[in-house]
Amino acid sequence: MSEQKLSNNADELTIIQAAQKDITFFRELYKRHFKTVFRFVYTRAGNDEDLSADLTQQAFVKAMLNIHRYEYRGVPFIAWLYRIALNEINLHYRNTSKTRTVSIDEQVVKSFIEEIDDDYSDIKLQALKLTLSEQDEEVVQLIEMRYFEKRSFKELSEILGISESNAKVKVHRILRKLKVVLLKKMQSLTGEKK
Amino acid sequence: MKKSNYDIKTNPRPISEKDIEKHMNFDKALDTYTHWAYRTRWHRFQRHSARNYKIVMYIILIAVIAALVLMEMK
Repeated sequence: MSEQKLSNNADELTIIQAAQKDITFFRELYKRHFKTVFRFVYTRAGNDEDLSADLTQQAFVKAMLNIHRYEYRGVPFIAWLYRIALNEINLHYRNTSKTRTVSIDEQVVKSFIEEIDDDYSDIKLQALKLTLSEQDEEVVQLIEMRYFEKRSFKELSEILGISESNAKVKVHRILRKLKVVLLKKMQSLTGEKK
Repeated sequence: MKKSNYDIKTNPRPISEKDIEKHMNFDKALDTYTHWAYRTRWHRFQRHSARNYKIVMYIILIAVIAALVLMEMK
């Protein structure tokens, strides 16, 4: 970890401790992390600005109510905020029974496809979309965070509330499974085209 | 064909910093927090209350109980 990162962490910890005693100190944490959390929510809330604003605000209120429970475990504070935001998103989709949105950037997906199947093509992107749309929530969340958002396993484990080794095993298994499904999907897609 | 569980969007429009800043309102969040945290009379004893408040309230409570016990003994 770089020196600046360490001092930022120490600085943040001091603010958190102050906020645990007096909630008005939370303002600084809010200012620092609002935009990042908003973007995290925005990609998962179908790029709906108002909905993202509501969910982000709710996430911050929950964080304020639970700040006394926060303990530093070597993971940045933002990961804890992501976890709360993710719970808010899940709650929203459960209550409204709307279809979830997964946002993918073609450039990022390219590297992901190359990782599981050597080279990239448009048909593979189409097959990946089809494959992802049929997966469970947990699978999509892991792929989204690890490959589309390039998060570390440590961060992943903190956000999803699982151990780091468990996150590694899960991602490895999902990749293996996806490779098989993707291949089948591609075969069926190329068959349809012929 | 299996039912699609997700709406997959490719290359979504990124949101600008200015658009996000429009939604930043700590005072509103603090109002909602206050409404939740201080909605009961015993909020000062609750876990989300600031530590120094809780300590002061417990000291007062202990002092009152001790005073009552002393008065009863006399």
